[in-house]
Amino acid sequence: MKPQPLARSLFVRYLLVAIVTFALVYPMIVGWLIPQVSREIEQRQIQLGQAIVGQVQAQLAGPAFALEGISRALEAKPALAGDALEALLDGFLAQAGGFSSLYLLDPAGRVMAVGLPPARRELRADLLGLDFSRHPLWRIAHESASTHWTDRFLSAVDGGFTVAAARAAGAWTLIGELAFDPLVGRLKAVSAGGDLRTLLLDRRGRTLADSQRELPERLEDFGNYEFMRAPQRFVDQVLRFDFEGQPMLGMVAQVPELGWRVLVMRSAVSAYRPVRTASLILLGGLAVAVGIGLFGAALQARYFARMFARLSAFAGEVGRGHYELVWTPARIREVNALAAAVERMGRTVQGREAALAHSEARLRELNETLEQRVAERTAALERSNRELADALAHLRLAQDELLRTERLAALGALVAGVAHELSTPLGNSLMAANTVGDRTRALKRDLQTGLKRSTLDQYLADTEAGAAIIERNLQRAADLVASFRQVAVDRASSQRRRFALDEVVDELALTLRPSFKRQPWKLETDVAPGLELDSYPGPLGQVLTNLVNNAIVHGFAGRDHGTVTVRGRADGADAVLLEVTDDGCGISAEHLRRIFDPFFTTRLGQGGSGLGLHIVHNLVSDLLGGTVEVDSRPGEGTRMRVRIPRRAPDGPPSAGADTLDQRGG
Amino acid sequence: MPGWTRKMLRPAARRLVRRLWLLGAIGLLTACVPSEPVRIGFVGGLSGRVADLGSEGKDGALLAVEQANAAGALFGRRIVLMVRDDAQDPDKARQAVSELIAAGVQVIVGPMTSAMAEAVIPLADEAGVTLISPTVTGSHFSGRDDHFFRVVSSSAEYARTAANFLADARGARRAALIIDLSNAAYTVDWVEHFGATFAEHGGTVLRVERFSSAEQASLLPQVERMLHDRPDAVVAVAGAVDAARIVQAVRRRAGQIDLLIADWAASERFVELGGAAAEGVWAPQYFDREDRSPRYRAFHTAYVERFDTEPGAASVAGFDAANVALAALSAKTGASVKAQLLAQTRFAGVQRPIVFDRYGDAARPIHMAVVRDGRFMLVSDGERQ
Repeated sequence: MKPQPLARSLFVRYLLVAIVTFALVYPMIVGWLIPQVSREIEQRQIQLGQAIVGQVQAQLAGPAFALEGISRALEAKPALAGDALEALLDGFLAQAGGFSSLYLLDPAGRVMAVGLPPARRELRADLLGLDFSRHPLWRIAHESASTHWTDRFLSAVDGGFTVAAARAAGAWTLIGELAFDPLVGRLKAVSAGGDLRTLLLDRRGRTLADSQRELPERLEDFGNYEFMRAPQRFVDQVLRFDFEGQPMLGMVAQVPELGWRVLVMRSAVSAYRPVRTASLILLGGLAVAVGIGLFGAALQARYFARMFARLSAFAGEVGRGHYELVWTPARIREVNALAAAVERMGRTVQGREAALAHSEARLRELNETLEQRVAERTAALERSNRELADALAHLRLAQDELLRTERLAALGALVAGVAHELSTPLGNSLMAANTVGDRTRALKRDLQTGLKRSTLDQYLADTEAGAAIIERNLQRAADLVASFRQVAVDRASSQRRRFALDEVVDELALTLRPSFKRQPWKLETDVAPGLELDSYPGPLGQVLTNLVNNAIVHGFAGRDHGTVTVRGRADGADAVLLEVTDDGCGISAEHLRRIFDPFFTTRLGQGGSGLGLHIVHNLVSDLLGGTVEVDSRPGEGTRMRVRIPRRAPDGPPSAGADTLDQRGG
Repeated sequence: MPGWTRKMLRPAARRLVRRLWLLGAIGLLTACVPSEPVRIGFVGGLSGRVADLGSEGKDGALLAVEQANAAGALFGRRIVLMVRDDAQDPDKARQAVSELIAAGVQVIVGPMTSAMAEAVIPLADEAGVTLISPTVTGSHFSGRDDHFFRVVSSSAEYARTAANFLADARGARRAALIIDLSNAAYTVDWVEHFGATFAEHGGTVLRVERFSSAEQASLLPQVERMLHDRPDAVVAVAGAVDAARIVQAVRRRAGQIDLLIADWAASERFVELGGAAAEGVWAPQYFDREDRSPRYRAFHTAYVERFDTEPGAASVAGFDAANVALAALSAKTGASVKAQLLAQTRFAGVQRPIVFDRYGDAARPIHMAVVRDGRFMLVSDGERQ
C-alpha cells in the first residue's frame, strides 16, 4: 500500500474510531431506543382511544336516557295534544338531554308535534304534518321496542346531516335529533393538545363528529379502510394507514350497543416525532462528538507532522554530514529519544566513514595492481592466440599438402597405367626385334655354311613379319604416349579447350583400365558420340577418375564382382549429364549427407584421404560450373550425377581449383 | 492504510462493518415515504341544506377512486381523494379549492352547485387546475374556454324539458315557481329558461317566490302566496330538503295540483323526506334508475354494498366525473388534464358516454321522471296525457 502522510494516516485512524463508535451506538438507537419509545407512544395511543370511547359512551347515555324518559312520560299521558305536547317536548329539550329537536310522529308517520329550541321555533309550522312514512328510521323505530340510533341522518330541520335516535312511545314514535355541540366539545376536550384527531364514525365508517372540524362538516368516509371492513382484527391494536396521502397512526374502538366507532388518529410523522427527535439528538450528538474528535485529530496530526518534519530535517542535516548538530529537546520524550538515536547514529556513521576512507585507499591500491595483472594476462592471451593462429596456418598447410599428395597419388596411378599399357607393345616390339636379331644371327651362320634359298626366303618372311610387328607395336606405343601426354597436359594445365566428350572418356578409360586388370570388376563406358564441350578436360578427367576410384574403393571393397559404368548424355542443348554408376554396396543415409565434406572418410587409416569427393565437388561447382548429386541406398549401388554446361563459365578459375591444378602439375 | 488496520479489517470484521452500514442505510430509508400518492380533490356542499347532493356526489367519486385503487391505482401510485366542504358558501368554497390547489391536486371533482362553480372557476383557471363537475348545470358556464368541465347538460336543457312537459303533457298554462337564492347561479338561470320555453307554449309564469336555504326560515308564506294565484302547476327549484318541505306544504293545501321539482332536488332524500306528498311529483333528470345495463347494475351493486343506500343521480354523476378525471390522469401523454380532456373528448359513463364539446361541456338526454310508490320512475308515454 502506498505510504500516506502522517496527517492523513492519523485522520483515517481517528475516523475509523469514530465509525466504530457510530456503528456501536447507532444500532442501539435503532434496535433498542426507537422501538421502545415507539411502543410507549403506541400504548399511549391505545389508552387514549379507550378513554375517549368511555367519554363518548357517557355522552350518548344522556340522550338515550332522556328519550326513554320522554317516551315513558308520553305513554303515561296519551291524551295530551297540541300545545301541551309541544310544551312538553320543548321542556324536555330545554333540559340537558343532548337533543337539538324532537318530533312526535302519529301512527301514520306524520309529525304531530315538534320540540324545538327557542331560536328555531318559527319553523314549527313547516315541520308539523311532515310525512316520515317513507323514512326508514320511522319504520324501524315504529316496529321496535328499544331506542334506535341512526347512522348519518339528514335533518328535517336544518337539512344538514346529524344523528337521530328514535323510539316508539305507545302508538306514537319519538325522534330526537342529536345535538352535536356537547359531543364535539367533549371530543375536542379529550383531543386537546398536539395534532390528535378524534372522529366518531357511524356503522359504515362515515364521520359523525370530528374533533378538528366545525360542527356541520363531516366529510371523511372510512368505510373502505381495512379497520372498518374487518374491525375485529384491530381491537386494541395500533393502526397504520394512509389518510389523504399522509401516513397516520391510529386506534379504533367500538362504542358498545350503537356499533359506532371512535377513531383516534394522528399523523405518524408527529406521533413519532419524539422518537425522531431523540434519535436525531443522539445522532447529532454523536456527529458533533465525531466532528470534534476529527478536528482534534487534525490539530494533533498537524502538530505531529511539524515535529516529524523538524526531526526529519535534523536527521537530514546529520545525513549530510553535520555530525556536530545538537537536537533542541521537544516536549515529547519518544521524539527526543529518536533524535538522540539519530545523533548516536550520526556519530557511528562518522566512525564508519573514517574506516571506509581507509579501506577505500587500500582498494585503490589493489585497483592499480589489478590493471597491471590484466595487462600481463592480456599479453599471455595474445601470445597463445598467435600460437593458435600459427597452428591453424600449419594445419592449412598440412591440408594443402595432403591435397597435393592426393594429386600425386593420382598421377602415380596414371604413370603406373601408362607404364603398364606401354609394356605390352614395347615387350612385343622387343620380342620381335629379338626374334629378328636371332634370325639375322642364324642367317649369318648359314651364310658361312652355305645359304639355302629356302632359308633366305624364310628369313625375309620372318624379318618382314618381325618388322611389321615392331612397326605396329611401336605405332601403338606412340599412340599411347600421345594419348597419355594429352591426359597429362590436360591434368597439369587445366587448359580450357574444345574437346569431344567421348574422346576424353575413352582416354580416361584407357588410363583407368590397368586398375581393373587382375580384379573381378569391370569398367564400361557409354558416351553418346559427337558431344562437344568448351570446358576443362583435365579437371573433368580428374572428376571422373575420382568417382570411378571411389566406386572401386568404397563400393566394391570385399566383393567378387562389380561393374562401374560411365555414361554421357546431352542434357538439353547447353549441358551434358555424366553418370558414374556402380552396383556396389551403396552409401548409408547418415554418410550420404557428408560424403562431399573434406576429410570425411569411412576408411580412415586404410588409404582413404577423405578428399576425393570433396575435390569432385569443388571442381564441378567452381570450375566446371555444374552440379553433382548422389543417389544411393545401402545394398543398391550408387549413382553419381554430374551435370555440367557445355560451355564452362567464363572468368578465371577459382583460386581453390587453380591451386589444386598447379599443385597437380 | 497502516498494517494494524489491515489486520483489524480481516474478512469477518469487514462483514461486520458492512452490516452496520447496511443497518444505517435501512434506518435512513425507512424514514422516507415510498411513493407519493396521486391526489384528486373533491369539493361540494357536505353540510347544511345541500349536503344530500354533495354527499351523493362524494360517495360516487369515492367509489370510483376506491375501485381504481383496487384495480392497481395509477401506475402503482395510490390515488387519494381529498374531500373538502364548501357548505354552499362562496368564501368557504374558495378556501376549500385553495387548500386543494396548495395540496398539489391537478384535478378537482366538483363543485356540486352552480353558485359554487361561479366562485371557484377563476381560482381554478389561475392555478391551471381542472374542475370536473358532476352536477353543475348553470347554462352561463357553457361555451367558455376555461378549466371547468361538466358531465351533465346545462340547466337550460332541464328547464326546457320541464316546461315542455308541463305545457304539452300536462296542459298547464299557469305556473308558480319558488327558487332558492343561495344557489342563484343555477336557480335564476333555470327559471329564465323555463319561463321562456313555457311562454312559447302560451304559458304564463304567475309568480316566482324566493327564499334562501342559508337562512333557517319558514317557507309557508311563500307557499301561501304561490297558491293564492291558483296556478296549474307549482315548480320548486331548490334542494331536496327544501323541495320536500315545499311539496308537503303544497300538497296539504292543494292536493291535486301538478308539482314539479327541478333536477337539483330529484334525489332519494327527497322521496324519504317528502313522504306521501312526494307521490306524483314530476322531475326532469338524465338518471335512469331502471337501467338494466350490466354496467349500471355493477355500479349499483357496488354502491349499495359500499354505502348501504340507493345511488342517486348525483352519485352516478360523481362516479362519472371522477372516472373522467382518472382517465385523463392515466393518459401518459404528459399533457395537462385540460388538454387531455379536450383531446380525448369521449369518456365512458355509467349510463351513457360523456362527450365534451370544445368548451368542456357535455350533453345528455333528459327524461321526465315521477315519484311512484316512493321511487322515481321514468314517465311512460301513457302518463303524458
